[in-house]
Amino acid sequence: MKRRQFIQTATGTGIAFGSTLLPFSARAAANYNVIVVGGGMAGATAAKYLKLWSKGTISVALIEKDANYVSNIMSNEVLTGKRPSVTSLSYSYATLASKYGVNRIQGTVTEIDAINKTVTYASSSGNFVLTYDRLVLAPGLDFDLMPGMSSMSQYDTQVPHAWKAGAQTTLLRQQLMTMPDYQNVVITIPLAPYRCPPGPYERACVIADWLKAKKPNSRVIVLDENSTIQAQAGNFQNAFNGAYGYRVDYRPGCQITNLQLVPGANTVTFTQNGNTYNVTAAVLNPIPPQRAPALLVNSGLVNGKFAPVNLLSYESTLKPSIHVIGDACVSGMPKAGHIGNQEAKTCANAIINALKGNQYALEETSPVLNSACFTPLTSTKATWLSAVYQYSNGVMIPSTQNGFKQPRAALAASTGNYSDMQKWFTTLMGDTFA
Amino acid sequence: MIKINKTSKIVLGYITAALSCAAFSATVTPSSLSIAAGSSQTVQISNISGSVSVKSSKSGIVTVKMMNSTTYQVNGMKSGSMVLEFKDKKSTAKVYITVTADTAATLNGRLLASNCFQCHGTNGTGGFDKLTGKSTSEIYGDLKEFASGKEDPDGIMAAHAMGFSDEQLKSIASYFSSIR
Repeated sequence: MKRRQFIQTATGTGIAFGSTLLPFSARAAANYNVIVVGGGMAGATAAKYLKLWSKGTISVALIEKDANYVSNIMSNEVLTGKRPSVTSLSYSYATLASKYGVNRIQGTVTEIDAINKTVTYASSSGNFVLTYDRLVLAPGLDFDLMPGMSSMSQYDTQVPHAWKAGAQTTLLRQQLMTMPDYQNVVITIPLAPYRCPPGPYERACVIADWLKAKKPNSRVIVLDENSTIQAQAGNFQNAFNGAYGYRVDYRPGCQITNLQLVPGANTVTFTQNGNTYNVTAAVLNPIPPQRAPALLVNSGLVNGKFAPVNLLSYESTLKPSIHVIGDACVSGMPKAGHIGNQEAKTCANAIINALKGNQYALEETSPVLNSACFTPLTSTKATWLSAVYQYSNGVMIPSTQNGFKQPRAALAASTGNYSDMQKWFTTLMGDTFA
Repeated sequence: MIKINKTSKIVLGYITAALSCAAFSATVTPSSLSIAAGSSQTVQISNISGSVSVKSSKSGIVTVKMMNSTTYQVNGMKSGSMVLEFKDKKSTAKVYITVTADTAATLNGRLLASNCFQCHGTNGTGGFDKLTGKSTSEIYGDLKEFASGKEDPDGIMAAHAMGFSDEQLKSIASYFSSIR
């Protein structure tokens, strides 16, 4: 009771201040119980479950700048033509609106006022201010410039990172398709934590498998700033060593010191074990270091590179009534879509409980989050990685229940896992967007 | 058992069915119901004369599904009180319904069970195996087989089940068995 009373009081104050301080010229500020910013895996799931579990009693706005979401999951298959295009990975917000009553707003959030509890966004029809009782931020990540680069636009036109699926995925695909044989494809991996721990290694495998058939005298070189493979080390190492008929030149413990961008003949300079090397890359795919977006930094929500949160509710430990879910928060768990989906449910449950009491949701004192993640290693075979995390004293730790260690991985890649991967992907996207 | 009101206006939510004629006024059993939101109960109608229409006094609190000519399933949607009227050619029988909030037991397992939704569909309605329509002990039994390493120990379901405590597995099973 005490907690609910506090929330009601805080809400009342926020709205009163907001109304007083808004400039007269600002358009009428609509109020939502919850505003969700960002329509990726975490944000879309949060919007859906806030409506579903509150039985429609909470008003929810979802602000996202793009018309559709393009899935990062499975986007490596677009690179080799296994999937026809990124359009096949596109998800609309129509069902969240029609089936669950989410108010979908296309716009870019420019400012968060944590004291007056307002969000300002820009859209094609102007700037608007909305007020909230609770704010959920699921903004994804910003990417850093790599050494030697001068502009973020170089990722869009010359050396796509393609670590947010979309136009860069298409560009990287075109570069691979038009590359002559007898060339290097170089992928660089930043120090963890980065989005999708197995993702870069999966990309190396999928491309190497494709080169084997299409450009058999070319090779994939992976320059990893980490000292070891970050997920499914056994399965990837086997693949790199030739278990599936291709090889990957994998080099751990590298530091990238310079990228010289020349179309079709880029040069990567790196150090490894104290030595400096240059390697030429006809196709260069630098996966940059990642951090919480500037909006969160400017709003005082970030400590270091990411946003610290209370893992019972994903409420920021720095600003009250603002929750951060998905890749931008510090959860101690992998930054990945399946995890983002479950963080969103945990967050939605906590917000409903806080706003409505236990008629619709119960307070969770020991949440569990699981992750399943399928990984193609060839065009027909896949593996999986699974992990269950239990809440303990403020952190999420890999479960040790039943005497079994987490995470757990498939013993090897198989065609059965490949078909399970399709079902997993379809169902995961359905749980998020439909 | 309920006695009959002679007339009633029919406003919304019709379900009609051709039924055999009977000489007496229609009755519905039970005449009052309390249902938790998310759960359902059936009512029986008897002594019907001609076709039957069903009318709700308020929308959104329940949905009604005809199972056969004399059995109707009432699904609790959200908390509230309302009256369902079953009207045949000659008479109207009423059922007074109260829908209560989800039971604590159901809500208790929901967030835990939502870990299954990514692969088994929202509320376990399918993707990989459908998890609804089974008893608590059936689902719990399956999960224990995986968690103990007896069933497909190198498979992905074992990997998941192994990460949950016994109490958590029971709670998950209880949640899915409660879904209608």
